[in-house]
Amino acid sequence: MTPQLEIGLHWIAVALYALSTCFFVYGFVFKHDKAITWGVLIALAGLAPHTLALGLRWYSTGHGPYLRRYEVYSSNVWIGMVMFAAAQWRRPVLRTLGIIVMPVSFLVIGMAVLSSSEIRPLPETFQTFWLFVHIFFAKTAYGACLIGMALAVIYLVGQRQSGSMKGWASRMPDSAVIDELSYRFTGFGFIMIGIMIAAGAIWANNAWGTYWNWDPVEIWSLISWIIYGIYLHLRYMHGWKEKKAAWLNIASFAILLFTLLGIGIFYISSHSPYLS
Amino acid sequence: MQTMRKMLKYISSPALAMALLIFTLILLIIGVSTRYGFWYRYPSDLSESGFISAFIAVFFVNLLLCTITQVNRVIKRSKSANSRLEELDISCSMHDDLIMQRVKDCLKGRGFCLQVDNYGEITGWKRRLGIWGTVIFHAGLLAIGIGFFIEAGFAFTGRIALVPGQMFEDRKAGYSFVKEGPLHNHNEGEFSIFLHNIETKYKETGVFAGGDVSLIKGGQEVKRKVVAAGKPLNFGLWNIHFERFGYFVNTRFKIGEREFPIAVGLSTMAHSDYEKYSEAFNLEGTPYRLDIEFIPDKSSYKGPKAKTYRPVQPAIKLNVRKTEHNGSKQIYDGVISMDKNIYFDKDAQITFDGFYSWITFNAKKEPGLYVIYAGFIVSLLGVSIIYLWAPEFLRVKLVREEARAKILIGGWTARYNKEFQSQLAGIKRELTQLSVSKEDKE
Repeated sequence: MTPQLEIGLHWIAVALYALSTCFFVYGFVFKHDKAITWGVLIALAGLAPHTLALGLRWYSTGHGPYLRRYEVYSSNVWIGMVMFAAAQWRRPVLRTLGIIVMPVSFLVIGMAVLSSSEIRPLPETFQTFWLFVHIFFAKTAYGACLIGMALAVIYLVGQRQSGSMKGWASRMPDSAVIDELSYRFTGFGFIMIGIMIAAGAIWANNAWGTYWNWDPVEIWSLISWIIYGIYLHLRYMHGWKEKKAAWLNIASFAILLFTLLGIGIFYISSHSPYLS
Repeated sequence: MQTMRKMLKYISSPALAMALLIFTLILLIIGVSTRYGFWYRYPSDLSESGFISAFIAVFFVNLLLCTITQVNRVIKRSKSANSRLEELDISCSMHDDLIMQRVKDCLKGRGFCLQVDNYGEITGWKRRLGIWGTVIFHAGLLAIGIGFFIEAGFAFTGRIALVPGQMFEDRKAGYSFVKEGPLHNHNEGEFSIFLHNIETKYKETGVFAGGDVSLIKGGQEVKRKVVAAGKPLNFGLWNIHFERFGYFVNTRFKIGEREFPIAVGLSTMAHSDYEKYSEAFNLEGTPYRLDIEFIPDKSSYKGPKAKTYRPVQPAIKLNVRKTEHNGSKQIYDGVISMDKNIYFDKDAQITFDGFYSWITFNAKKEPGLYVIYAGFIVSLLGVSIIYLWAPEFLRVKLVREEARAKILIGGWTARYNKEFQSQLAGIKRELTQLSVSKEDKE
């Protein structure tokens, strides 16, 4: 009964996220503020079955939702959604970010439910505290960088000369504030990626006696970290702001997304057992 | 001299750091994007190559010089707010001391810590330590670099191969494989390891083996632990990690009248979802080349890549090729159960007598590892300080021109400028109010 219920709840979450995406798109295209409010409410409503589904999965597998594509993708989306909810709770104007966050979340959770939901036992080497730390920070990095990227997109689409945002983004703070917020979320994500890499190295050293194995996932994580490092360095030292920084932020997120979600599809690596 | 200075300036420039970062990024992406990317195909060849070493050295020098430059800059900044001063004409008849007191009250009310120098200039700051964030971040990166250098110079890895009941003494010659840094000085006899038993767990995801070992120092057992994947034995700077588990098969040959036993050590090849235990060798003094694969469970063996972890009905799969004057040809290919003997050629027999397990550990001494970890923590602490502890500085100076008082004010922050500017504007507004303060009205 539990697996069917869990899959059912996942599908309800997918449906609600899809509906929320529609409301956001409608709200922006037709400048309908109420539709955006509905988009937010439906997204939050989707988070409830999503949370329940992941809880049930945790209960039935006996381990956190971090093994295989089904669990990894779904829990990444969950963290992203929680961070989006928290961000708009702190700054209600940030609900506009839903136009970017919701389609991404809907597509990723869609990929999750379409992959195999077969339960696999946790390998011995995975039963360590460091794995939990490693995965928690990987997911938090995804959430923070997703919001940072969404802000960069909003900035690019909505900014105008006067500094205020135009069109549907007019309710957002000034473009300079959005640019700064994007930088802050991305900086937070950079720290999270760093901790993820360090925790992964400690875990690998405990498990296999080597802290760095030049595994494709390790290399792509390093690439993500370096590209976000370049972004921050360019901002901090070379005054890169606004448009240029926003474009680089979007490119960096594409690489991070590939690292966290795409590698299992293209590479065979020591991470394959949990990304297959 | 000038060229030297220019070169030094270039080597310590953030632009070079950026160029090196971009180059690293390109190198990593090319290396991992091709199907058999060089980073995971030849990692040790690459990381030990002269080119990479030179690249890392340039990176390190750049980082070091950048850090020194930053320290200088931060010291200068922390001494003065380092900002342009703006004039506020307050035309106030109050006594200077009273005006300065008002300024102090205004800044204190907004949470600034204050310092007044000998010339009466007020410096106010918030989160002053935050100015060191970038330096701490770079110091952390430097520590990581130093850790890597220590690793390259002093690290030691030695492989220990054992069967149950065997003792290993720490002697360089006793390791089956050694990799050490050029500066490593091996003090032989630091420890001994005794393998009591090999424990195996058979799970759906594979076989998990661990060695029940005693650590012996000075003839005394000081620790006993099952060393398995994810469960290393740590003591001092040494870490003993599980590496691999496999089998020996006991065989007995009878070639003509000659009978002799051979214990064949099989290599373990770990694949993504199965392990293969096999070895190919020439039978000395005979024309036969044998390829032996150990099959732990004959009943569940369904050809190559089958999951046969648990030794329920052990067997060996034997392939024999015979070299003759016109080349080599296969003369036998089949599965032999335990205690069975077969003729693989007219006058040649083999008996599969039994099997036993071996285990290998890696003894590692990595003095730089902890420096790398510490560096990582420090660098992340630095980034966190940059974000969460962004400093704000203000300078306020009073200039008296006959009856008119002028307040010069300026500020600097690492935090988002607009927020700070609005705060500064608020302070200016409040200070301008001094000209129409209660005393003036009276």
